[in-house]
Amino acid sequence: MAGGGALSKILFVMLHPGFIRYYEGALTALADAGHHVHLAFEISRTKLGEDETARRLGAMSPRITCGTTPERHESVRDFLVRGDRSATRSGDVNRAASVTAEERWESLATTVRLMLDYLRFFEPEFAHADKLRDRAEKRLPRVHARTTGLIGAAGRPARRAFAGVLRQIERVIPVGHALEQFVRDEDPDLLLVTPLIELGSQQVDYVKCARTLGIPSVLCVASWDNLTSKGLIRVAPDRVVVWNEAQRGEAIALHGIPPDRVAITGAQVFDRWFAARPTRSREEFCRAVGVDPSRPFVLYVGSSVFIAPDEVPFVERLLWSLRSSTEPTVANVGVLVRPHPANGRQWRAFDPEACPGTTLWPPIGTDPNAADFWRDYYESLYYSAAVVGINTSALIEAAIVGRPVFTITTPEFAHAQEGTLHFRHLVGEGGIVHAARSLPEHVAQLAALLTSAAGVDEWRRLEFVRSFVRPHGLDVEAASIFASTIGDMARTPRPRPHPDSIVLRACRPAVWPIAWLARTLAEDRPLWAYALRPPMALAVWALAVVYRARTGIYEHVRPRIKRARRALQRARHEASRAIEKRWKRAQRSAKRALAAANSAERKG
Amino acid sequence: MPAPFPRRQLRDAAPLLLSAELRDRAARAAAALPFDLPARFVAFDVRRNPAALAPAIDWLLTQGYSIVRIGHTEDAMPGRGVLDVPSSGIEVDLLQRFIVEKARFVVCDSGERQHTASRINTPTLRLNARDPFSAYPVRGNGLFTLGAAVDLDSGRVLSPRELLSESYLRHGRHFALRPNRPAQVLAAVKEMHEGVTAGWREDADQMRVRELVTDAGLLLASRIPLVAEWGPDDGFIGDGRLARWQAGEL
Repeated sequence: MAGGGALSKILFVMLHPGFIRYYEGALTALADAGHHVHLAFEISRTKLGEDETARRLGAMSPRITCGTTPERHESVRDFLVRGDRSATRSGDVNRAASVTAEERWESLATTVRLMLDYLRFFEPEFAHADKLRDRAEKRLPRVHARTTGLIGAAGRPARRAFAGVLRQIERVIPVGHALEQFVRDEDPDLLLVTPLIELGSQQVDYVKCARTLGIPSVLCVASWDNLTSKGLIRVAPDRVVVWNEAQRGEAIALHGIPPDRVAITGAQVFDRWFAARPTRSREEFCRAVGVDPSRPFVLYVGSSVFIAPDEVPFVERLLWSLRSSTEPTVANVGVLVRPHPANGRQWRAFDPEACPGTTLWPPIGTDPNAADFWRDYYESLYYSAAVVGINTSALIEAAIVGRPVFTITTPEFAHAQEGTLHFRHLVGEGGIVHAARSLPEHVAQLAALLTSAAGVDEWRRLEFVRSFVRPHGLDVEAASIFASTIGDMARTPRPRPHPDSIVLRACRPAVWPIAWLARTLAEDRPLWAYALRPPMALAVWALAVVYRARTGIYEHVRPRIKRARRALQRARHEASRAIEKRWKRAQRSAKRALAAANSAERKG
Repeated sequence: MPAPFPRRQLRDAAPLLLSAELRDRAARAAAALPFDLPARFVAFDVRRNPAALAPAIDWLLTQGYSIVRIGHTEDAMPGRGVLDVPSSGIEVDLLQRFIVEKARFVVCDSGERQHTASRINTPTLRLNARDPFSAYPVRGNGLFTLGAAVDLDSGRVLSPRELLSESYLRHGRHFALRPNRPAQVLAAVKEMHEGVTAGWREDADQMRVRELVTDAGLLLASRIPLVAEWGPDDGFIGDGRLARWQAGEL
């Protein structure tokens, strides 16, 4: 229950502190409204200074606190590491350690969830999502991947039936004691989780736990690709908070969430883009960055590592296409390349000196938490003539700022463009991105824009931003809608607790062997290794028995025999010496007696 | 360890040319191109930084060569009189094989194309190679250049000599490659032209590099799979050479 005078207490379970950036404004709005929010992170992450974000947020309001969730026997990461031979060699996983029952249940939970996630990518909607399917497959131990793959390809009825079985197993799996105790101790009025849809996510346990304890649970969908490019919402929470109508449709159609459980709040992560204003003139900005202020510049926004693992060669070709244009405005246009903050390393191979008129900025390794980082990013969008990218949320941000947005659909990024459903939000009906099928077509589009032959369709842009980012109105902050929606849920009476039924508990012993098997197979060894294991174990055991018996004989029996033999020898030796002494003594006595008899005879 | 690339066997192998039937089919496909296949041309199949090719292409055009591009559709090199084959969509695989056979020489940046050309015995310039072992040309009419390896963590550019080190060859994923600069490509292309027209000659640095690569290969083959596969075959690394401008740096 709420304490310290707070309206209500909200427990927000996040995978890692990196998710704060999606909810920073909404969290402060909740705190300002009088709610106490405790953020609990399942894992730490410092790649982009996320720990610093958490610290900063904690300092903002006494009503916001941060901590960690209880450590689990087996996180998804551990599960995956177990199957990774190199990780095992480096000593990250201790295979020799004894396995607890709870660990076996967690292994089963992870296996079932990963199988469900893999299975979803066989649905017709994901027919072109080969890379997403491959990614889900790679997470599974091979034996499960093969089985699930066969069932997945066997048709919809087979998939439905198998998914039904997996969901029933999911129901039977108990929630860990430490996790349940953690939620009991926190005793929140409302439990929020994000992202929940990570492949094999263990956050499902928090939703199950909340149901058991009678705490309402909410999934906060963090980003625009979450419902289509990752895993399933395997156990439906009481409410799902999404950005827009499109995501609402995805939650219902792809995840089976009842329509009345979905709430649309808008994309709170983009709120600051609406309020932002430049702090420098264009000339000042261009000079600071190193772009010629007398010419327009195009901003190339980098994508994440999954979307664009090898982006540099593509950009080199893009630059060559621009420079080769017969239209001087395009041939001489400035280009500002902005790598994705989490995919910056590959840009070290980019050689701006070999590409005149091009600037890579900010420098690779710039701290995303630096004071000017966001301001610089905003101004690079604001002062650009156009924004180009493969598939990234920066394209949405460009649309909010009012810049024309372009992409090039190319075979090397097909997995991230046509191969993802969220890309269609950008280029499909109602989308804002001008997609070219080749570099020459893209150059022609840019030429038309830069020579003012084609202006920006302002109505279309605003309509996209309204429907996708701020469905409650362009002037209405999504964070405030999010905070009021969450606040209302936190104040509603708690639902009735739903402890595990007797039937479920009765089923557990029957499912236990599957949990045992899941933990064993999570090692991801070839099947013959598992088949060989029992006879090998028997042989090793037999050898051990023989060895121990021999050792026992050597250590205990042989010394005793030796000792007895020595004692016997000693006794024999001493007895023979005694007999010899007596014999000699008798001989001497007999000699003496004989001598005495002889002398008596002589005298007599 | 993987089996070594059969360098000695390939060195003496007869050129692997198309059969008469396939050659006829390819010639018919070439006739359907929107341009006539020129008599004297250089085939280009380069993915990285096409801007770096511009001076070389301009120079080749002044020498009377035509430029024919093969490779991926999306790697188009607009303008500059380049004849683009992949975008024609006509029996592209066979046609590209035919073009490699007909070309005066091939400029590429992939091992696959380099080996195809080598088997046909078409002179080949391999650009932006990642290491000196996998790219070392077997035949004497082959030339190669090394890209500039960059440490992905620190951004430090490695010296060409470091491309022979165990740490680089073992941890290849920690390094990315910067392509050759325009002047470097031009110098290598000029050397190719010189070799094709006036015969191949080798300077002291190029000979020293061959010995250096062979020695490093013999030393590292038992420890590094890449070297075991692509290193010297019974002490023979290849009759080709590193481009003259780079050999002095190694």
